[in-house]
Amino acid sequence: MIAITSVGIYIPAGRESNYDRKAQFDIDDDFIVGKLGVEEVSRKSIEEDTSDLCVKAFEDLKSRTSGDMNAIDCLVVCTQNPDGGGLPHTSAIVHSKLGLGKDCACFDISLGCSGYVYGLSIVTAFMQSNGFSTGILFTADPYSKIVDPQDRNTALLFGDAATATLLQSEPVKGSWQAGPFRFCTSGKDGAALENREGKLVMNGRAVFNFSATAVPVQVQSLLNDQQLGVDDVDLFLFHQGSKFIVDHLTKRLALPPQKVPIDLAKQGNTVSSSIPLLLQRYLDDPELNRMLLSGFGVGLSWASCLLTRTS
Amino acid sequence: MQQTLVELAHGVNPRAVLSSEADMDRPFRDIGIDSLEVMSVMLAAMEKFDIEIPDTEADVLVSLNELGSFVEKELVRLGRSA
Repeated sequence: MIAITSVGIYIPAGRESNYDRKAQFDIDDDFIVGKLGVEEVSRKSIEEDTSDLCVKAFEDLKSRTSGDMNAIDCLVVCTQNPDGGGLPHTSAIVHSKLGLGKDCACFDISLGCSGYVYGLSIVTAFMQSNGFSTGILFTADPYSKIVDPQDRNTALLFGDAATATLLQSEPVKGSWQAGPFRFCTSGKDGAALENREGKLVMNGRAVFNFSATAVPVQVQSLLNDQQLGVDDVDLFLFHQGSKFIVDHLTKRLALPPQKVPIDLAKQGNTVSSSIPLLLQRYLDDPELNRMLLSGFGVGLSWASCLLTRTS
Repeated sequence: MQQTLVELAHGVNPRAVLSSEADMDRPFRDIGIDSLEVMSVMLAAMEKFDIEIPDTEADVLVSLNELGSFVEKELVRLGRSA
């Protein structure tokens, strides 16, 4: 059995305050706090590249674990803003910076906000099929590389962060097993969120309509197929697109708000890192036994899965 | 139509100011519906009336009455009563 045993995180220290942009974008405090839910967005330094964010997340992971972190069988990076142009793959650069041995499989996954859920499935299956004992799934998608500071749709929203999720084949009691999974794609609508000549362009209305309608269907389908109700799930960890969309999903699915944590205020929407950033907080909570994760965005792509605590 | 749109708008933002006929013609922002809530109102209208509102139209529908006029035209175009 492959399970999540720990999550390391890194949020760069740099910040850009949305309160400083109120006049520029004609917004007020209520909009910042009540709708965006983002007071400031995190920004990596000029010197930091995507692989450096991964290394920092790995250092945090190491500080949380006691095992041999040099014996890693596979290292996977989920990003669409890799070092350089993605050649070589960022996972190989991270491998080098961590000084890992040659017996380590490395590859990147190109996905946005659904990437963490996809990544859990990919890494779990890859480890199982190859008899691996230790794998790490990184998420690091620093949108500051492509956000146009003058674009109201994106500049107020996206922040930089990285996470490192440790998956092990002989997990300690209380680890988290991922699955079953649900994956969906609507490639014909992909232009709603794309990199156009080096700049992120987002059709906010199209992304909202998609998120508000497609995600609840997938989540409900997953619950129904497992014969689970809302009461059977302790927490719903949605991709932190904005407070507005998470609130909307909560309402549509008739979820108790206390089961749907929101944490965007101090870093913003961190793309594939937003779910593991949340998850890290709750992994060790003994009161929790089942969580539902759901990521949605670039693609358009959406993916959901359950996490169940191992006994 | 007007009553339905008022209900949709209040479903999104119960504090939206819709106390008079004139409020139906005021820009969304002036009745307390911000840019994100406008998206939500339009989605609610799309689902309620089973129509599409293209981005090109959505960009120019700035009041509830304009939204209502668009919905009615769409229903007629689709052969459904408004």
